Amino acid sequence: MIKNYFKVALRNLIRHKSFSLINIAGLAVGMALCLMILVYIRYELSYDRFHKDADDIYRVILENNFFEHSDSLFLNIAPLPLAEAMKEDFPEISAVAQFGDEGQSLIRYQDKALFDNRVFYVEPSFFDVFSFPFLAGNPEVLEKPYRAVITRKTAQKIFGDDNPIGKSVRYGSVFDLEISGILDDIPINSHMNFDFLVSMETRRDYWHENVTGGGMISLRGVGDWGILSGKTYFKLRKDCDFNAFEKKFQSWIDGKYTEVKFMKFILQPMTDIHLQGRGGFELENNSDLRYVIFVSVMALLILVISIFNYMNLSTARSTSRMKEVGVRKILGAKRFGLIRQFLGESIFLTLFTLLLSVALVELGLPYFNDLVGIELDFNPLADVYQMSVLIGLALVVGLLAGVYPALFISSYKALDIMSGNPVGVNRKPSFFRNGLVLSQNVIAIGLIICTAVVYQQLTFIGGKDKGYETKNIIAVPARGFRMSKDLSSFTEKLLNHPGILDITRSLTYPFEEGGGATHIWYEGMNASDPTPFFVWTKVDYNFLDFYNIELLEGRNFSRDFPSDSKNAYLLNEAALKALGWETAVGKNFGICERDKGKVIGVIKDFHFNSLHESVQPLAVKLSSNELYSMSIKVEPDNLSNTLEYIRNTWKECSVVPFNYFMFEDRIAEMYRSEQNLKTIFTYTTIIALFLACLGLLGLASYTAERRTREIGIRKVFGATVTSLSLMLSRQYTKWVLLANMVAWPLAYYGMNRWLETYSYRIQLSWYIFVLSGAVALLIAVLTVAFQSIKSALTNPVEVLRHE
Amino acid sequence: MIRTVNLKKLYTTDEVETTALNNVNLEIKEGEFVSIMGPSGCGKSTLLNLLGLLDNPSEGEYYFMDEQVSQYSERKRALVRKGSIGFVFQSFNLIDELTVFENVELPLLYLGVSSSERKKRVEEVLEQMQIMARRNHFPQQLSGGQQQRVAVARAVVARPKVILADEPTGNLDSKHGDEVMDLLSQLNEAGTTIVMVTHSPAYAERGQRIVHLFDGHVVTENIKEKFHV
Repeated sequence: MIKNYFKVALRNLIRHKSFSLINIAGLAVGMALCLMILVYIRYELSYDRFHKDADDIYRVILENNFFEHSDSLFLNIAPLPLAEAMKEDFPEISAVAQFGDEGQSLIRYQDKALFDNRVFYVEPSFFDVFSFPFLAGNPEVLEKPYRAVITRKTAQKIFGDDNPIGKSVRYGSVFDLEISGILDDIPINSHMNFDFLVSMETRRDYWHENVTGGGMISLRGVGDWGILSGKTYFKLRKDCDFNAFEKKFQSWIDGKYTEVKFMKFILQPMTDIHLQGRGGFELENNSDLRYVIFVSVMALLILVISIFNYMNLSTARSTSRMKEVGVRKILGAKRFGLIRQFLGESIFLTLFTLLLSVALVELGLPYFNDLVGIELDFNPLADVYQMSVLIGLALVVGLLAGVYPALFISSYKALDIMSGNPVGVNRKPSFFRNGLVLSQNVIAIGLIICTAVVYQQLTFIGGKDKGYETKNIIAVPARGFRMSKDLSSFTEKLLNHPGILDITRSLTYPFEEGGGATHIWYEGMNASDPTPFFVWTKVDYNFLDFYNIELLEGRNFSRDFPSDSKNAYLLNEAALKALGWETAVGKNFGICERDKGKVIGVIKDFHFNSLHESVQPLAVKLSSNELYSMSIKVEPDNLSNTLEYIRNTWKECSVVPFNYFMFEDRIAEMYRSEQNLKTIFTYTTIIALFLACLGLLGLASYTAERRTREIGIRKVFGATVTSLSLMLSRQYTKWVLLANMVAWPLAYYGMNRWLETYSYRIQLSWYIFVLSGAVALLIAVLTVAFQSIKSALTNPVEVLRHE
Repeated sequence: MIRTVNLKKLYTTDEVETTALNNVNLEIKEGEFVSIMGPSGCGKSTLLNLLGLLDNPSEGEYYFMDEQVSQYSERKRALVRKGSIGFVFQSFNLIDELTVFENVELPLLYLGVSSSERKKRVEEVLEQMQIMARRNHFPQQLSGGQQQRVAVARAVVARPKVILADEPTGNLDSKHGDEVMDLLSQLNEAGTTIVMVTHSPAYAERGQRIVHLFDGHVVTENIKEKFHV
């Protein structure tokens, strides 16, 4: 019997080619997109899960609320003694890792000098918490000073095919490191990336201090516990309840910080970091859970549209299979058997479609990867998860899509069918079908609106004036000059080139979070007041002019005031607001007590952090040291020549390799998640529209086929082609119009909620709604018009002859 | 074999009640060939549907093989139907997606007959209907007469006790009509009970008995002494 069902199903597919094509193509495209998004979501959710016991690993971050008027400042940094104390005081903890991120550092080996090495200072216990497998060596090698462990990629980069173990490299120009271990490469779904792990003992031995590296903040009056330095991660024992532990931890840490009220300790699961990372000093640019939820919803909607299409077309077509059902019933088929037959058919078709969609994913994934800028892998044969998702998807889609047609077809009495005019055969499903068409259009229109809004908002954020110049700037990290005169000669030579307009240097670039957060001193501060943090940076004289940062009050740094180089400060608006000052010029201020000086000017807020957050207080100081971040403003024409000139000049003046990036590229990188979302949204909406149209097209051709007799009779009695085309088109366009009424308020509500999560946002405008509706209507009219005109043109004699 | 007592069928639409059959008393013996005649709308097809257990009567009793089946559920009727009753329709009602062989095979599938036995019986009956050569054709590739022969083959393949034929020659020209009638006569001679609705007096004459219906009533029964013993 199964064979019989199978044969009938297959022959039906072939007999109704265009119908089957629409049905299968729609479902395949929908499922393919859904699969790709599932792969993407899985990638986003897979972050850091490669660690053994990933769910038991947490990190400590700080939330600081110094000022009533400012947002909290989150810092991925912890008190220096915390790691040791936690290990001692909490039996619940099985391991603690404290490490410092030194950032990109210069490493020399023989005649090679490589800048792009991310260095962490770690203890051997790093490997008790994290699982980065050793290819050679073991964690104990990091007990000794001047030892380093590197990744396989780094080993390849520095040593080529030579065995790196036992070889020495020069760290900056300070000390030598012996390579004592090699790690497997870090998976791409890791929130931490490094090339070198240097033993913490090295730091202690060389610098004679206990700090972890990667910046330090010290709080007054809390002793050692006031030194904030490094990242602290820990692993809980399997049997330990996190919530209970967190309570215990909070009361424990409160005991250490009776003096400091503005600081809150947060324990964050490691697996949350990638999607729910919070602000300051993150190890990498994180993604956003909202985006993942967004694309999940989109995948679901696309799937819903394709399933609706399938249900709709199958139900419509089912009338042509009435005779078969009637015959089967007369010959003794039971209803359950028929339901099984039609459900089976649906699942069979879905499985077949699945193969097609897998092929589509294989074809489409490289483009998808290009679009979102990551490397996703799709290989269901080698991946149990992907395989089960595939089969699960086919079964669920097949069941969902087949259940209504199956119930509907099997419900008619044999006699009703055989008598040729079954009661209600056309009435009930047309109500149901119209409901499906309506929902599809609601989804499609809703998606158009959402895409338009998301596009506007993200473009707004990406293109929003960040408060500083970003165009035509080449950034050259300017480390590696032996003498300061080499640097001066480099800049002088550059300025001789006609394509180079200006050069400035600063401690950090304007899109970076300054030189760190530091506690400040200000006029009118009491000894008992908390020491608030400001982000700060050091700049050259022409920093404001170079970046077009507006001065609101006071004056800029100037060579006419020699004291500027010692103790002058510029503050931003946010700083004034935080301090509760109306005006700042002339007031006493310092980024620490020994750096006391005066505020000489107030600058307009610029976005040195992401536009998702509001601008933090910033203090700017003049300096001639440590201005490692060089920016070169160039003429846009002949950029490659200018760049070549810069490169050659660099070679003359510096011993390290030339390294540069375009300012705008780096900023684009900062908003990559937004860019990805924009891309995914746009393509998904196009596909959703395509699917909805496919559904309309299928229904329109079906209706036209069913109404040929009516059309013939109408024509005999004088209907014109125009009036008939209108009559046939109107049937569907009215659902699109109605769909607008439903989609608008839903989209309005949803988008308003979404926009509220942004500090800087656009206003929803009515024309987006009207335009989206109009686009959907236009597409629907074009889709059904062809079919309608075609049927209206039919010769009535042809049609009625068959009666 | 078939006996009805005061059989009545009412059709009720929103406001109108139509009596399709009224107090029909009929007895058909095993091996009989009964023709049912009457003008359009007199209730012929309704009667055939009731006899074929495709529908239940509104009132009255229906004994099929001495069993009172008038109030059977759809499920139970389907059980009685398959294997005991064969149907032949005016419009053939072959499944377009199945070949001649597969169409004829269908009732045996529902009876759960084994594959080898199915093949044997289908081939036998195709041979008998002289359409063996067309066994792999689809219905659209056949003439009307051939299609109806396939339909008859399908009706008899399960060796039913009775064949109900609803204007089996209605869509056929006289040549093909004659062929189909010859087939039915042969089957009857071989012992199958046949009840046939027809408009054609000539074909009605092939039966041993003609039942005339008018407005839902049996008006006359012409009993002809044509039993084949």
